[in-house]
Amino acid sequence: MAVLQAKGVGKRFESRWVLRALDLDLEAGERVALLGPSGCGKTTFLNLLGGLDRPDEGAILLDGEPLHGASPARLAELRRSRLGTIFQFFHLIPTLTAEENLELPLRMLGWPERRILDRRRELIEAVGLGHRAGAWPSELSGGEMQRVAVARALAAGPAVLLADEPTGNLDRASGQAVLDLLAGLTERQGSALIMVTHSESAARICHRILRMEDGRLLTGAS
Amino acid sequence: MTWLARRLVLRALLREWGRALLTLAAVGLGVAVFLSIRLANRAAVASFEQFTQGVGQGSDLVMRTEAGPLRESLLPSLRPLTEWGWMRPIIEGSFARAGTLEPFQVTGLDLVGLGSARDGQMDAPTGQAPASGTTALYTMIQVPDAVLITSALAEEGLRPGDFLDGFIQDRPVRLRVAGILPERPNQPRLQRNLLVMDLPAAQKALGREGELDRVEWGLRPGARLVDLEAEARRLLPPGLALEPPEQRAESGRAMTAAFRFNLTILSLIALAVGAYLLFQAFDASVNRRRETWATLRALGHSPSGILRLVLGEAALLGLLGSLLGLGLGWLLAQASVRAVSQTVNALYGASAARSAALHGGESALAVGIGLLACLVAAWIPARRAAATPPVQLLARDGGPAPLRWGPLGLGGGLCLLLGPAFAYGVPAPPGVAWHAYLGAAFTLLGGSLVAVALLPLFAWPGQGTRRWRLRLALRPLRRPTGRHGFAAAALTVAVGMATGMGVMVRSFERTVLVWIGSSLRADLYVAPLGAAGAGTQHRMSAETANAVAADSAVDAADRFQMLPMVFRGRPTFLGSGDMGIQAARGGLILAAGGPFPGPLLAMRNGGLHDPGVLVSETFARHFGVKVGEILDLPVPGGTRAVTVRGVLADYGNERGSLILDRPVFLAWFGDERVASVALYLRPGQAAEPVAARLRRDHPALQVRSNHALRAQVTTIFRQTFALTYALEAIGLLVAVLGLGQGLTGLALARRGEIWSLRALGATRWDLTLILMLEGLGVTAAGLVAGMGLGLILARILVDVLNPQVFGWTLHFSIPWPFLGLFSAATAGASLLVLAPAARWGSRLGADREAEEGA
Repeated sequence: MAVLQAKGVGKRFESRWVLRALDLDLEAGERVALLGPSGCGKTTFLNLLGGLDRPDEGAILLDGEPLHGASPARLAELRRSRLGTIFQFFHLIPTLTAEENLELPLRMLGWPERRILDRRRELIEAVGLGHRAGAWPSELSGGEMQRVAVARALAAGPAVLLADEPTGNLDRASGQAVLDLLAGLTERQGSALIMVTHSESAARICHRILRMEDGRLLTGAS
Repeated sequence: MTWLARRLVLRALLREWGRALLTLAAVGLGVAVFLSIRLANRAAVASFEQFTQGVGQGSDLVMRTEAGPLRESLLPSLRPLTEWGWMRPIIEGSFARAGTLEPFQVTGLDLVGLGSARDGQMDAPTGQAPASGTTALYTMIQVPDAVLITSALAEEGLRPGDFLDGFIQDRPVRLRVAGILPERPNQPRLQRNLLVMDLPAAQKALGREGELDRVEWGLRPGARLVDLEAEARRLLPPGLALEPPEQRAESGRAMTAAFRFNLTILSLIALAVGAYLLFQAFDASVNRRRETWATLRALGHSPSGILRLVLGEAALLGLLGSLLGLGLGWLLAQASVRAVSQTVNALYGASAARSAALHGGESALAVGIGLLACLVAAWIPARRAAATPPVQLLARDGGPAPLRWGPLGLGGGLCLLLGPAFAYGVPAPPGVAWHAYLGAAFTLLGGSLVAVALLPLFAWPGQGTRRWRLRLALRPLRRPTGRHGFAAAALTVAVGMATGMGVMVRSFERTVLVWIGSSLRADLYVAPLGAAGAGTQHRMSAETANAVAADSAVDAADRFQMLPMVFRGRPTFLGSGDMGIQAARGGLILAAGGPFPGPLLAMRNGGLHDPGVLVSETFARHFGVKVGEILDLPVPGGTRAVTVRGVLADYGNERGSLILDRPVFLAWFGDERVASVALYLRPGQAAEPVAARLRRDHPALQVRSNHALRAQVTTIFRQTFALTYALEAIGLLVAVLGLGQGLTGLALARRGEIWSLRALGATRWDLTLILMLEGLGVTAAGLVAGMGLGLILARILVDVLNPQVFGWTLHFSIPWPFLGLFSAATAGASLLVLAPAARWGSRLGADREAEEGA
């Protein structure tokens, strides 16, 4: 059964439709890459899938639950427990250290302290930043920041991980490291991944590739 | 305005109209407070100066006595002076209108003499055009209690033939309006509350037959002032002084200088706190458009061009806000002029300003200051926008760098040491205490810097807590940015000023209450109905005072008289009271000279052989007089040597006073009139029935019980400081608004973080709470630092500024309930402002990303 579904989703800004008739079924543990030129609506689609924005037509279902009808509080709860997000520009909280950024979703979920500490240790080691745990975001390199962001997004074990150009701001080596991490961790946790990217090589870690153009998914893409 | 400026500046203002309106309101409010105080002040002091100058306008030389009345019998010996010009004998007194007890100045002039003074034409009382018609002159001379009124009063409906009911001295009078004083073109309008009487009628009405207050001369064409002055000095009997009229005006201005300066400083504080708000507004506005500046730079726009754009926007807002402030300031001035006038009245004498005109110079100054404040406030953000490389401006996570709070704290600590050192350590002449103001300014600066350094302390509750919202909210305070710093500093200054003034006023109030509690021991106090303030000229005749004292219930009556006098060229007061009664029943507080009633008994025992005097603390400070010193006291016909026996705590006026024992005063001055009588009743006599009886028998007297007088003093005291409270409240309001503005800036700076938190599942409420808690952390730092700062400022105000400027020693006392209430009010006001700002901030992320996402 699809963990995340988009059915006939459309979005417009003022009178201009930027997305039209988008359909998507994302299976549990599946990794999907979303490719397309700049401005084709990839990030907007990702925001709709993550419940950060509302579609103007169609429906998005997470575990069968429609996101478009959910209250802001319910949406926040779903984002906290079932969805994880990674941004191109990392968006780490500058006033929290690397490990504090990582544990933040767990604190928001109200996990017990012991469990938080165990999970934090596990993840920080998993992304290879045990030695940088106490560093401030401003003291981390781009690759290190994105590794923290990946760990933070996966901390609560989300069903779906949404990644927006996760390597767009990184050099090739760092980018590859982040991609390996994404593939490995989602595999291990059984999380589905939908990744917006420009890069064909980045898309190789995915099981399926979808192509977008002018706000539409091209048929026959895989 | 260029194409780019129109599109970037005007469109930004229209698009961000809420922020633009807030900035306009901040400028407008600051300018309005500044202007209104200046206008009200100007009106009240101009009114006071007009009374001070009285009919002195138009004359070239004035003669008066240093102490006591000027005898009319001296005039024949001065006749030779008419060779150089005309001579104008004058007497002055007060009239209180029935019902309102509104004060009027009564000026008596020799109208017959004036009729032939200048080329056969009657000279009007202010050296202006002649009074209208010979009928008026005839009525003035023929009808006792006939007066000329000003056109300003006539505009209120009073016409020749009408009557003015009220009180002169201790008797009810009905004055008949005989005519209207004409206004002369190109001359200041006559003071509304001026009544002119014929000299003999005025002398009779005032109960001062044969007496004058001064004589004025005007030069004939071709005559020289030096010749007139030389001849006048040759003929001048001892105890008389000559002065040019401008010296009188100057003395009036000098007298009120401290008062005017204090009010101006207070209004500038509102503007200074407003400048913090403006800085935050411009900072947020510039920060919001950082991508715009970066793009412009990337397209080749010069840094100076960007500087001009930002400063141009600031100038536009400054100008519009200042113009808004002009109207608001004028309206506020109308509301505050009576309060200022009342204070001038209580401290210095007559002022009856009822409205304040919009003054060109003051308006230009206010607009200039508003404009300058905007340009200064926009300078740092403008410089930053112009100087930061485009790549850095475009960096999404490149928020403002954290402040180096350690050096700031050290600098602040240094300023906090320097401030009191200046205030306490630098000796200064009496009057306006520059060193104390400079010390206070250093202290203010130090307090605001320390507030910034305190911010990391308020991050402590967020340390190690499992409450993620609290941790996220307070963590930024560990490494505060300029926005945190400015918000905390602005609040610190406002809270500090309000606390300082509040503690000072309450120390003052407590001191005065202790003083009146000790000084006012009599059961009843009797004075003429119109008497109020130090400058009152209402007096009771000896007969009335004797009749009051003769009441069967009265055990002892202390007759008190107060006269204006000139000592060592400066105006002060000479008082007299019964030292025997005071020693036996009173409770004067002595600052020096030995324990009460020793100095009073020494005065009584010294009598006329070894006359002594008490001086008020203000007098002692202003003239540098000490106990045991022998003073040459001006008396009618010369001077008398008197020994200073003691220094008296006295908060009645700021010109200071000397007090003689009544028998000595009577022997030297022969003036049996009294300003007030303190009645000590026989044992078992209740005060109220006696008071009722005295009121019935003497309708022109006010009879107050001890309790009522204390209540009245307290009320007057609080009225006097009403304006101060209003200014404090405005300053605090501006600071709290600044806090809200600061929080929106902080939210903008954290928008990436807010977006991340939303993506991580934080609700709007979580984000609102986080931002509010952050704002409250800043509030707490501002409040704590402000309270500390306020207590230091209060000590400077109480220990240095008040004794230096007013000559009053106050006992420092901290009003804890007031401080508690004030803190709660500040925290409450902050919450009210922070809540909507935080709510606004919590919505930032989604909109922003949605715009960029497509």
